[in-house]
Amino acid sequence: MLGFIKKDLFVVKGNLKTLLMVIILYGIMIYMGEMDILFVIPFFSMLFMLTTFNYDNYNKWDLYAVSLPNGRKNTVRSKYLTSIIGIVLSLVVGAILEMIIKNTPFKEAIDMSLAIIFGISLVISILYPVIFKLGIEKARIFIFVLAFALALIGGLIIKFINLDFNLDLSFLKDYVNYILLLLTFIILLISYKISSIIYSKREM
Amino acid sequence: MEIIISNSSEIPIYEQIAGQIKSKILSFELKEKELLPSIRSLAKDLRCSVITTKKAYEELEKDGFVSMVPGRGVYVSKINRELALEEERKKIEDLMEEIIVIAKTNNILESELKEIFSILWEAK
Amino acid sequence: MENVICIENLEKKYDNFTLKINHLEVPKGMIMGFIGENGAGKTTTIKAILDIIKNYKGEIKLFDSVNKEKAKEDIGVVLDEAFFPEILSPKDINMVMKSSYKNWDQEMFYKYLKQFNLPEKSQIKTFSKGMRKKLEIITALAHHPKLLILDEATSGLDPVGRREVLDLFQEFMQKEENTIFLSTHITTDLEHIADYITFIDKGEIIFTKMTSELLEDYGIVKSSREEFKSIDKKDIVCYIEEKYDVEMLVSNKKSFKKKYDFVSIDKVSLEELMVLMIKGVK
Repeated sequence: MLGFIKKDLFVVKGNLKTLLMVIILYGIMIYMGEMDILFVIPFFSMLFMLTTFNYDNYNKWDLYAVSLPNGRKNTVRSKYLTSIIGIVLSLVVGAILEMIIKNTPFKEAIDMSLAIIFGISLVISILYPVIFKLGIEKARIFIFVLAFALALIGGLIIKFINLDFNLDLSFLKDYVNYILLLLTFIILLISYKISSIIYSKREM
Repeated sequence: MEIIISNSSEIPIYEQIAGQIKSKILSFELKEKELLPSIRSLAKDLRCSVITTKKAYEELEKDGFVSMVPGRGVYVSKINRELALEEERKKIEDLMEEIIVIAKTNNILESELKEIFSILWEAK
Repeated sequence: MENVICIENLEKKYDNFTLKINHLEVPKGMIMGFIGENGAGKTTTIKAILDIIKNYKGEIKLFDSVNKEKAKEDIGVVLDEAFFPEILSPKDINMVMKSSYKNWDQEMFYKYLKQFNLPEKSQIKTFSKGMRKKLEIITALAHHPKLLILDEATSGLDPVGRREVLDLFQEFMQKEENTIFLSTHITTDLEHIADYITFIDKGEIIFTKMTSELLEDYGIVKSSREEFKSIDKKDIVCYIEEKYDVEMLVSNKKSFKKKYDFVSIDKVSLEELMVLMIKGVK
């Protein structure tokens, strides 16, 4: 499985020029205060993970990977692991930058980071089983629909909470980080299990 | 050792290989107890299949020219050269008999046969 | 003889194609060529062997075991148009494979890269078609597999490249326990080095025979329509009526010549044999 993780890292490395350009572009926007650092960096690490699916698909790596020892199992495992590592790493970088540039207090940066981890993990957890089922090409439409739906639902939830549950939820405040972390872990695990089952039967 | 294979020849490749090794043994180019290339390395160097070289060696072993020792290789056998040549002569006699039968049934004269023979002999 | 691949009653149905292999054995220590038209089922068979397709009936054993994952450590694979993402370099591939196979031989891989003049640090996408094929082949060889499964491994190579690669295969075969199963439509490659030929047509195996037997015993007979009438159809495998003559495939040149001495018989190439068996009337 380590081999497959390396493969994804090499794909990202091969895209280093694009990666640098994106970083510079968003660096400028962040500097100008147009973008939220904490959100942008992990979001881009997720986009890069999706790019690795595209590269795999283009050269039919998936097929080749199955011919390697434990190919199917390792394909699923490595995608989840690389994604998690990527998001956590980028959040650490993001949080540090946030604290330096915006003077955000440590506690607040951690709170925000965990919320973002939860959000992105949720997206991944829904997305990956679909990609493993349909392949990235057919899953693309789904990704657009999902992005739109999430934005809509997210917007509604925020409105909803503000209106009614502002007071009721406050007793959870001390535990919210732990709950989020636990939820993140659970949804990723469930998603991983589903993907594994789907992929072990996938015809290529 | 040189072995030259012709893919366009009507003679099967294993026979070409066996024949050339046989003549090298008869002419003392290959000496008794000499180690011959393995089935697989011969196949590689001649760019032919393993089955072909195996068949060639089996043919040679059957005629007593080589012996295959499992795990050790293929060796040139001790041969009675006179006896081997005698056998070759016998083969020629058999073929000639066949020629004569065909010639006689078709009323072809001995002189005519000799003429064909000398032309072919010169051409080879 | 021990078999490295053993297929029994394999059946896989698609909307417009059914693969049905009752029996196929690949003997250990041999090179078996797998020939047939495009779409005859070669790639599907190879995919089933490697578990790339799954929902099929029947049984496939590799090294006498149904546990394919375990077998994969000992198999080297070249697939038709499926490989590493082209943004990777041979150097990257080495790193990935080092963590993927227990027996990955880095030195051997770099030695072959040098031998075939493949730049180790360039991305695959800068390679020519022939270079890619060579890279795929040496990648398949560098973990010391016992079985090579190659789907169209020589297509895209020029004659010189093909020869280099065939030499590599024969070098691999120096080990007595090693086996190659290769599909191709370039049959001239096989005529020389393959020990056995398996011919597949419309999803079914037509025959498995020794190459030497095929090339020495089979023949192609060309005759006039008049002569063709006098030939017993039992004595021929199949025939094609062409504009100026009739072409027949016979399975025993010598006995055919004895019976019909008025015809001339030519040696048959695998290519002619394949065409006659696909297009010919039985």
